[in-house]
Amino acid sequence: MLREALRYLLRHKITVFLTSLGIAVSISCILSVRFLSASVQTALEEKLDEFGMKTVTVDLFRKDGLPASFEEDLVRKGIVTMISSRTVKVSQIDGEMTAVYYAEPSFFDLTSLSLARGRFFTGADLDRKVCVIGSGIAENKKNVIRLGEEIRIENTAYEVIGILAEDSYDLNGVYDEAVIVPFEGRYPEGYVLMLSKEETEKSLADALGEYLDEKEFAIHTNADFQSSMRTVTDLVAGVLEWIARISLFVSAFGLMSVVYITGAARKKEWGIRKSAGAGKRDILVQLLMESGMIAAAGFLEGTILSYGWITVLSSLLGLPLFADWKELWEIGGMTVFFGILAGIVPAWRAANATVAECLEA
Amino acid sequence: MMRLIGVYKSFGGKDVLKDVSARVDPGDFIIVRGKSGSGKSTFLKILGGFLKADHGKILWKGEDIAGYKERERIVWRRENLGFVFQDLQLIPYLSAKENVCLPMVYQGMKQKDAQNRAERLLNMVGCGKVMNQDPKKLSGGEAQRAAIARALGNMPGLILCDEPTGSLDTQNAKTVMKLLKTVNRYRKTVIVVTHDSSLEQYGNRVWDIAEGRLKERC
Repeated sequence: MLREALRYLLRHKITVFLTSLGIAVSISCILSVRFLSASVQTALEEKLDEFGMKTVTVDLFRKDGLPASFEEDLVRKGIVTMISSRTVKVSQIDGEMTAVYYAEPSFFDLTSLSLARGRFFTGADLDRKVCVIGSGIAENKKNVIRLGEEIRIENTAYEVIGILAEDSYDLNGVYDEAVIVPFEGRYPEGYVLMLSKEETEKSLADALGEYLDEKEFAIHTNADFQSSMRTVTDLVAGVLEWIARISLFVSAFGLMSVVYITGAARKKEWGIRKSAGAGKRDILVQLLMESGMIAAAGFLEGTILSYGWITVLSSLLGLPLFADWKELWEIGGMTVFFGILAGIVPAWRAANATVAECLEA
Repeated sequence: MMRLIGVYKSFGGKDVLKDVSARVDPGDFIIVRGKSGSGKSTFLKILGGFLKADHGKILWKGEDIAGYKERERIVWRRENLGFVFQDLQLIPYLSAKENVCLPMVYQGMKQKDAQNRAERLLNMVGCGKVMNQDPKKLSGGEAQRAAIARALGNMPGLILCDEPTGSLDTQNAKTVMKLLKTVNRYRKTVIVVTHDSSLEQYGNRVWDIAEGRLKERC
């Protein structure tokens, strides 16, 4: 019976191809969403890994800050190897609202930011009005800012000593439109720090607990970023995939109508088969097989289609090509299931037609 | 072998068969003649269990098959019936051999055994050379002979033919009827429904159907 179903489909290649095309497009969408979201996620995780799992940021919610000995205490106790205070303020620079980071020289070591030109500020610059600017600030629409020039932050002039490379980023985001100046003021809003090899987020929380109440600080690790990033990509991919799944469901209706029409057009064949001794089950199984095979053909077409264009897209975007064979089987199974489901009503009708009805068609 | 007792069938209030009673013996070759619309095709479909009679009994080896449920009729057809259609009805996407295999496959025979028997049958009806061809590549006569081979596939006791020569030329019609006669010699009961009087010579009995009533010619 399987061979007969296959023979029928091979004799009607164009019908099969056109019917399965709708399914192929849906499958291609599902696979593409999965491949791309997995590739983007892998790429993001690889980038986040560059910062190392030991880089941690701490946000403080206490306005009167911490004692000056706090940073030294953490280093002395061996909990952290490096620490930099970090405060972000939005200020007007040349009429544009810009994020200004107030940080210590170690901030650059902790964030792995890279320079296009100039240098980072050091301990010797802490009392000077100097700044490092993002590439977007340096080459904005109005004018080009060069090393040694001054920019005004809240009416104070700062000398530009470094310009960050394009797309410089850390766990907090991209620094193209940011300015980093030496930390000034008493109370930082937070810290960027590097945990010692043997220390964990918990030991840091315990150490912070000596100075602060539980509600007065929050620790963000690389894993937190990875997890929230994954949540966002999963959400976007999930929504897109459901849209693709709905389109697969709609294609199944297309398949249903084709099986229905071909099933009705083949009434004489059912009559011949029934007169040769075929039972309802034989007709039902044959049509369901054909319907499932059309869906499987759609799945194959969709897989080839998506593999082709994902390969091209991956190489263009520089994303890793990601394939989960288990998922592929799952989608294939789901497609064939939909195909068989779509064939049930038309197959049932064909199987239940009487021989006399079939022969008179 | 088979008896019809007081069979009635009507469609939309019009009686197509009225009080039809007849007896079919093993090895009979019966020609059923009638004009178009006389009810002869309906008669054949009732004999084959494709249509249910409104009233009356159809006894097969003493058992009333008119009261069979659909499933029982399928089994009965598989075991006892071969059917030959008028318009060369072979399934177009299967080869002649695969078409002949159908009743055997539905009977549950193994594919290889079914193929062997199909080859023998096709050789017997003179279609050995075209057994792997598609039906559309066969001539009208070859296709009808292949259809007869298919009707013999399940070794039935009863072969029903609905205008088997209706779409054939005289020469092919003769060949097909001679073939049915040969089959009949193996004690297969053959019932041929036709409007063609020239086929009467092949039967040992001739029945006439007119206005729904069946009469045997003496």
